[in-house]
Amino acid sequence: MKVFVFSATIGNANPSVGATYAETSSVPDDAHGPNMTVLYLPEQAIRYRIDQGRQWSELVDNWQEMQLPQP
Amino acid sequence: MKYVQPYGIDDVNAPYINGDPSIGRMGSIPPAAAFEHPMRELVAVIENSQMPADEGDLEQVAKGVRSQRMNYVEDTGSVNALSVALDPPLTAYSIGLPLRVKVHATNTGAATIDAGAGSRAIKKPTGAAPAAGDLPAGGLVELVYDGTNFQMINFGGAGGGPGDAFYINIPYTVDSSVTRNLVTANFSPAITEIHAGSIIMVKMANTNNGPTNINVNGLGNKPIYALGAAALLPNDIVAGDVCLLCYDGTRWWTTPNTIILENVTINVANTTDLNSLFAALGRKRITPTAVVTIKLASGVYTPFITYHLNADRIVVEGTMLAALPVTTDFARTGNSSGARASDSANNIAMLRSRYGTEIQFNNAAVPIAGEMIIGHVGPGRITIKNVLVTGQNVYASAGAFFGAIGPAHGCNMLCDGVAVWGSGWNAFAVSQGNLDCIRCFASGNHGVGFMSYGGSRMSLYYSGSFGNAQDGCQAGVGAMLYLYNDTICQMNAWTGVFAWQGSTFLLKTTNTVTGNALFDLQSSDISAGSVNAGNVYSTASPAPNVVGNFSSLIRQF
Repeated sequence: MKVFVFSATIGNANPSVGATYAETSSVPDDAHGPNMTVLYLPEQAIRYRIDQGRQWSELVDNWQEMQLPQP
Repeated sequence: MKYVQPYGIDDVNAPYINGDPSIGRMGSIPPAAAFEHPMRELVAVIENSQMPADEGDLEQVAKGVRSQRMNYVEDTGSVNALSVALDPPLTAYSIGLPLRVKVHATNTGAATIDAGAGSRAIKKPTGAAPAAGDLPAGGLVELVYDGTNFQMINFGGAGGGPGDAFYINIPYTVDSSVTRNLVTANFSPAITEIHAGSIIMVKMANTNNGPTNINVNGLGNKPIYALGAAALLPNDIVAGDVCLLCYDGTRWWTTPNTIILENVTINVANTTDLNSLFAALGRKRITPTAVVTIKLASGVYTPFITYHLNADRIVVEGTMLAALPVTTDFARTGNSSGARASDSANNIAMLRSRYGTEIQFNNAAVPIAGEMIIGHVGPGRITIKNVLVTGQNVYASAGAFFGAIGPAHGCNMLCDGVAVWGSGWNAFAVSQGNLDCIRCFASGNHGVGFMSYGGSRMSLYYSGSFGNAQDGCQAGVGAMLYLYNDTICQMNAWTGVFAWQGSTFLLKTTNTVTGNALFDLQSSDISAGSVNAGNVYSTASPAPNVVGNFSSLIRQF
């Protein structure tokens, strides 16, 4: 899965996810601007939480260990 | 019994005289009848009083007379045809003859009695025939012969039965007024005074559209009030109605007509009056062609909840000081905290220069937990128009209330020209219902500007969501959100328009969604956005026309 993470949160335990696509997607790495970090992760590396009455996507605690090679 | 004169005297009225030997006068000789007849009369009284004659009791006549036993009889007749036998038997009825009768069978209607001298009708003192049950079996009824019938002296004392109907002519006239809200009632013969308890009937000439007075024969205007309420509402009196009015010493009371037939405007000055008005309107129905406008005067109001069965024909409308704001009137310099705070301060100043009617609330004042601050319950899509809703401009807490304004769960509302500023949580919101917003603006709120949630549908026309602390517009959990015409969503701290968990949004015509902190458009978790050509936005997640965010799409036409 191609995951766009807000770069400003990449140092957090659970970085915030801005967008996700299938690994085979043709979405370019700059599709969401320069402030995003592109990662390749399995689906289970993403979790949801409801905060302030809204759904948010973020990476799980050990997401670093789950990174996949860029296809 | 006749007078028995002394023996041997021809004069039938001759008196008895004593003998006097000193003058050689012989006394009267009493004949046998002079002793026998009085004794037999007295014994008859005793025995017909059902007492055995007793030579040892010399007060039996007094006792017999006192018992009145000779006028007591037991009915042996049939239903509605009483029959009694007296001893000695009656051969004629003398006027004033009393009978005390123990009834054998309960009557079913008019009844007669035969006491030996023929059948006579039994009547009540009013002259009416007894009703069924007036002569109950086993009951004692006292009858007195009036020369024609036997009247019941103790009607109602034993059996009961329904009372008699007495017809009273209530004074009636036709209203001669040519002025609405004034009834001119000139009775002939004239009513010269009215007092508490006076009752009149008037055929009304005009349909009222507000509080109404009546003038009875020139005695002065008195207000007419509706039962269960206060001063009349519009159309409580409809031309042609015949109204029964009762005076309480101060005002006349009547039963109001239940229909509102025409467009009416009712003015209120504060929330207390507004709540009282809705309570009174509960007795009215509004015809499909009529609209009731409740005009709120300029001023500060507290939150309220509306309810009416015909709420789709009710408009609660505030007073404007100047033209409704448009999107270009709002400050929108940035989505940072500082920029939003600055814009918010400018915007509330602008809004207060436009709106005369402001509804203020604080975060703790939630009329219904988990619901709206200003809400509508019940059927029908009520319209709230031209009001400014302001919170404390302090964050409350997630879910402290659902929205500053919107329909209660499962209900409907139309907001027209409504602005919400400074709400501690969501501004416009709907859950399991419908909310339509025309020329509505959410700015500087601490939650979402426009929230459609839980299977709801929300539509925005010519509206704006600026500088809110969360999303500008949001559709969550199976909800729909439509931005139809020229709606602008800018400088919000999260996303401009966001759909999540099976929700959808549509940008139909020339909407602008730019400058929002996270994304302008966003959909996730089997949600979708549809964007027609001509709409403006900068950022989208997932990227337009690419499936992402777990089977979500933003379709750009």
